[in-house]
Amino acid sequence: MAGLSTKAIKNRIKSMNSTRQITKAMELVAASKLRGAQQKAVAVKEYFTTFYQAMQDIASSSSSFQSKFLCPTEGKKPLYIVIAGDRGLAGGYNSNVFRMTIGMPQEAKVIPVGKRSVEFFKKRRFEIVTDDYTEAAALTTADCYSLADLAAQGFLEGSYDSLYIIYTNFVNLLSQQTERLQLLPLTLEEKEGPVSEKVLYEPDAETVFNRIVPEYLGGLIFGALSKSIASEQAARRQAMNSATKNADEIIAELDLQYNRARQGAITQEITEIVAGSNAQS
Amino acid sequence: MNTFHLTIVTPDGCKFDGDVESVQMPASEGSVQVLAHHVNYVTTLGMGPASVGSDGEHRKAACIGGMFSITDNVARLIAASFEWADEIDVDRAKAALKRAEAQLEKADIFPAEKTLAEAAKARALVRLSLCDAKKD
Repeated sequence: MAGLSTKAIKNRIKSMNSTRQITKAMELVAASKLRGAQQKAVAVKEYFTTFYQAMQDIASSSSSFQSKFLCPTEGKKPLYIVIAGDRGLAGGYNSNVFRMTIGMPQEAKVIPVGKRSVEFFKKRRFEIVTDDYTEAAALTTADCYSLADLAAQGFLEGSYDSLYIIYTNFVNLLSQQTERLQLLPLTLEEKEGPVSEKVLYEPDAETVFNRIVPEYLGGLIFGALSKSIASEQAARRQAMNSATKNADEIIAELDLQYNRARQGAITQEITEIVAGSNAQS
Repeated sequence: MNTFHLTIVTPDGCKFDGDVESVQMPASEGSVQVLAHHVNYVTTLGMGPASVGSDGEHRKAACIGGMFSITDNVARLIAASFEWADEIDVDRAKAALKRAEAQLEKADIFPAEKTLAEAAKARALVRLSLCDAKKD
């Protein structure tokens, strides 16, 4: 039989089998993590919509309403929050996020979230504001609020004049979309219909608005993070699923080769025995 | 007794959705109680104990951050964290309190770290105060 010996093929089947076991296990782990992450991503949606409505109400409560968070700026000193994964082996998940950063000016400041993100920006020598948020999967809501506070304060102090977030939107199990969202300055859609009549704001509309903006941002960041984590798990599950399928194919192919080689060896042996006994008689 | 509709939403999902008689919460300017047919009202929340009254019973909770609004007898409480007294993890709160106090005792603490630790301490104290109330 041409090519490999039965022994060599058997070894390859063995190693393929153990690879397959690993990819299969990773697929299952990702699938179970995905379930939790997906629930979180859905839960945060309600919070976010309610908050957005309330802010719209306040902003349209009077024509003289003013807030520093709403003033358009030149956008020359942007701050980016970039959420990527903690680990690789998730198909195109991380590289899609980084592809989104291509248009980023070199003077932009960055808050990377996720191990891969921190590595990426360190290598490219971007100015990193803080690398406290290295582990995306371990971040809590409280972390997201402190991150939002940090960003909102820097915006008010003028350290940067716009805030963007790059994350991966979880569309469904099979499709995830990398997105770039402008967080600051805020853009609120004009409310349709009559503006709600008299509302009592305590202490006053502007103070209430300025106080809830950081919370709103925190909610947004938490939402983006939950969606990104769900996307990462979905991407990994898919990548590992196709890796397992590939391994299955290769194993089937190798099995065939092995059987052929074994058959060949038996045939050869028989031929030799027959030839030997023929020569004797 | 007159009732109004209240929804309580946090990033972890909806915590409460139903008709209540009163709600008391820690507004930034001090504790506030709202009854049915309150004038349209919006305020921001600090941290502290909250309580929701329905069917003559008062349910206590630890409320942290966010805002409250009531429009036409429909109220929304949007909080960063809202935990009913029976949901509070006492051990976790105690551990958080210890951690924060240890941080605050450090001499070389950064101002930013100090505010974080102080906030963590305040959160833990709010939670623990409710756990004591639960036992009584």
